[in-house]
Amino acid sequence: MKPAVLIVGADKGGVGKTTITRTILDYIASKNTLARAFDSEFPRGTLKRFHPEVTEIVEVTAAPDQMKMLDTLTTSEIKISLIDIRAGLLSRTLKAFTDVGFFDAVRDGEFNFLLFHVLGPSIASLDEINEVMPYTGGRNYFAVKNFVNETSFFEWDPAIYESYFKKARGAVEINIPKLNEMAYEQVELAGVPFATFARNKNSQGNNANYSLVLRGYVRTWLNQIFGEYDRVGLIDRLTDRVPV
Amino acid sequence: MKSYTYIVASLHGRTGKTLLARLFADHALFTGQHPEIFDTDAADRKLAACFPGRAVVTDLDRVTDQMKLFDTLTAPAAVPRVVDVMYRVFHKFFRLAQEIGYVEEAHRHEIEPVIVYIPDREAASYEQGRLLRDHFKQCHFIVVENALLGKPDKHVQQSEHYKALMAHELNLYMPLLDPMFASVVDDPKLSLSEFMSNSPVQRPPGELSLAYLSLEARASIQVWLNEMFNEIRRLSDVIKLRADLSFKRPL
Repeated sequence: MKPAVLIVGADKGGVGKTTITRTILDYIASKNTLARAFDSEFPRGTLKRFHPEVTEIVEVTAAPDQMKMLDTLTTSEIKISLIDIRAGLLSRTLKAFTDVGFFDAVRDGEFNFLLFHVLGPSIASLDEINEVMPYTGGRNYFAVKNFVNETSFFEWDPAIYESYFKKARGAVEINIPKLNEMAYEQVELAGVPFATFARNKNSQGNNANYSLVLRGYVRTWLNQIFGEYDRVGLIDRLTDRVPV
Repeated sequence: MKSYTYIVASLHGRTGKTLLARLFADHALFTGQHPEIFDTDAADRKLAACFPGRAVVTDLDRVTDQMKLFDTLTAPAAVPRVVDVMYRVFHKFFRLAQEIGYVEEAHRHEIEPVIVYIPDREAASYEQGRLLRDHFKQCHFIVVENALLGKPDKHVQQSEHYKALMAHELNLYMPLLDPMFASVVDDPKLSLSEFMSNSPVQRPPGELSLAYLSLEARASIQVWLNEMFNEIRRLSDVIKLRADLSFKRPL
């Protein structure tokens, strides 16, 4: 299996990047596939709090940590690497990866690469599309619309909507529905992956006592997201079962 | 030991649903049990008014109330539970129950959910009832025939949904109560279990505001309540037997 790198990021903050990364880790685990993750929220690491066993905190713009991520792609037994890029660093990271020749290697077929560009319902967020998309050459670019509130990504205004999403030719859209706030907060408090919460387990794997209703909200939400990931063939793209 | 949750529901209003929920609760009280009672009509609270201090009112539009209801309904219990599902939250209640996996969780805690469904004269009520029964196959399901509502029109009776629901093996019949006494039974201050615990003939004048009723009227109400309690007891026994024999889960 060819190593695969999936970057999840956005320059704008508060669009739910780490939440998306957490769902991807749950999704990959649900497919009985191993993945490792790098959390660029240096030095705290929100992702690491929820997925401590597979996550390493890195300073993504520092050369030693770039080596830690990229130089181990071929040697690591775990072939799927997720990189959660913190706010403001996506463009810089992509540029840095370009500079070290990572995208040349992708073009040469050494690695699979996917970019999950997490978009919030704001012009600032949508403006990022033109800046970020060229790094992928238009391929393997996923515009992840995170419906963090009741907004519609300007779908009510076709001109604005088209101006952003028409340009992103070849991009694959993924819609992330909103999770009930109380359920989200309960998972925060529990400090476990979403799927673990839905299974009513604590971080030690023992039975927990989470609300059935909130677990139900999380399970339904997660299933909807897994449906989106299935729709775009995410696991096949990551595991090299289809050409990417 | 298994416990039972009676979920009384109908697609539309004015089907006798709250009265039936009340009868299930009163029957439990009458037999010396201490039921937990849930009223999902946060506006009118008709069931709650019959059981002050005992019934819990929940507004399913609020997540905290959804938790209050379903987290309680799935907690192990030694007492029966009765839920009155207001027709306006019919879809919401059952959609939520499905999404959160209520039935599976209840079974894990030795709780047997029993859906008690009252169709009315509308074709849609039979269709929804059938869908509900087929969707919640893991639950016991009782179809109620309320004599007060009467039979639906012929074209409804010819529908597949009507036939399917009428052929259901667990049925509860609500006999007609003389309309003269219906308002007496509707009085939330009247405890039906207490009424049945004491012979109306021996009841002191003035008690439960029934002093104005003739002994004959009290006897009529008692006969009707007796029939209802017998029906509830009969079905409760059948369901317990089926649960014990694990007949409840179709292949």
